[in-house]
Amino acid sequence: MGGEDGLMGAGGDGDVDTVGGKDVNKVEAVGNNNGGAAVINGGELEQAPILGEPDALDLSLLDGVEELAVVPLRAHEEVGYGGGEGGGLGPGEEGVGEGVGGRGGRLDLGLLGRGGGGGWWRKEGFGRETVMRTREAEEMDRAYQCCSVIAMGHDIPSSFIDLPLISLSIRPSSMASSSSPPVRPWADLQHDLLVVIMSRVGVPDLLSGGATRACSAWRAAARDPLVWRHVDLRDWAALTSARRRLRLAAGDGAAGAAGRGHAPLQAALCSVLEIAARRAAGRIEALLLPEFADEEHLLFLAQR
Amino acid sequence: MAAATDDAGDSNEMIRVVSSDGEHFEMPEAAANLSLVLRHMIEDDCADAAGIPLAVVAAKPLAKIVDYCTKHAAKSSGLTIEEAEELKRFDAEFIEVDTDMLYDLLVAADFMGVEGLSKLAVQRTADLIKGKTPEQNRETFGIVNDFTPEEEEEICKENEWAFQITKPPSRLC
Repeated sequence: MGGEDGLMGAGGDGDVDTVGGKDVNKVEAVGNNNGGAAVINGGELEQAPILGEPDALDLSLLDGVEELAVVPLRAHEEVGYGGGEGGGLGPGEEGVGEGVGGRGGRLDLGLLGRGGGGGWWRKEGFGRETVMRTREAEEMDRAYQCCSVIAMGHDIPSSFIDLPLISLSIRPSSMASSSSPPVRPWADLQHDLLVVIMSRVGVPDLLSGGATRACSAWRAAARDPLVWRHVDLRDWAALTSARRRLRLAAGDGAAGAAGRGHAPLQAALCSVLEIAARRAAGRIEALLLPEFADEEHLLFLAQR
Repeated sequence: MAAATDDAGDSNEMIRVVSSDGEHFEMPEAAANLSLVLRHMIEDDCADAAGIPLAVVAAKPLAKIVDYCTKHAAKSSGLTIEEAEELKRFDAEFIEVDTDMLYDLLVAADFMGVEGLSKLAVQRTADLIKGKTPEQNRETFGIVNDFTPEEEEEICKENEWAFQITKPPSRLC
């Protein structure tokens, strides 16, 4: 029965996520993607559609949590749980109840965590109403395997585990619907089309480099003056977060220093305007400024 | 599938098109007219029983495009609010495709001159790009990092924006 072995083998690629505003090591959120497949930190569960909605997670509970797992507590339908690798719910397990209709079933999930000012803790009834409803009874087994471990753990005391935790495999794809890697030559897309796409991407993402640093063709498109004819800076929050991302990606320790210097907001806007003016080769046709902008910025731009 | 002939104009004739891999499709003339290329072909009397060959559009994306045009042609003018909402929902569902199909739709809609679909595919692509790191975008779109060391260095220099009001960065990429 899975137990700690299951935990050890589970988990994603060790990404650090943020829960409740704090950086948490190896805690991943559970969510529902459009296809109905659960998503963990952008990855996708390999096996089956399941699980709870993201809002079923009580984030206040997770403040400071270091490790987190979701454990199945009881099933509401008697199905063939015996099979499958790693075992399953024992038929004599408390709470295995009556069937809930011909199709599908329900598992109650518990939340298991460590940290947050204590040792291990467990919260029952997590996601009780939103827990999976698979179409066919035989899918229950697969679903069960999926809903066990959400994050890696190490030394969970066995007293906390009254049901086995089984590892799940996470597909590192962020595309809900594609199971194989994309094969189309996106880098070779006509320049004109790439330019149109880049102009829809928006200034924050153009500046953060997510698109421009993917490959040289995309970069060339993002630097096309046509992309910069219409500059929309109204979403200043997006810009500053892009800026923060870039700093973090660059490993700069001064990320927290954004507020330093005099009138940082004004200075930051000026620097963005300067880049935009340069990229547009001096031909910005439409400019939408954030609320705090004033005539000085227009003057600044006019001089460029 | 029939076009709303009462307001879609003169004809409910079916137009045949042939994909690059030889599959035949039919759509109402009003639907075909949403494609600039097809409209010109129809106007030039090139639409015959053999079908208009579309040399660069494969059957899979073409089937989608025929769907798109048929749906939009049937609801072209005088939309009620509900109909407009429904069309929006159709579009949103329609473009929920993997990146390979998205690529095919982008290229085909551009080639065929289907403006609405072009916009839809472009927006979807932009939305997929947004908020991702370069690595994530490479993964999503199957792109290879092809920057030369010189370009990498240049890119580093461009990051001045992020650091302008703090200290100059020691390491950027």
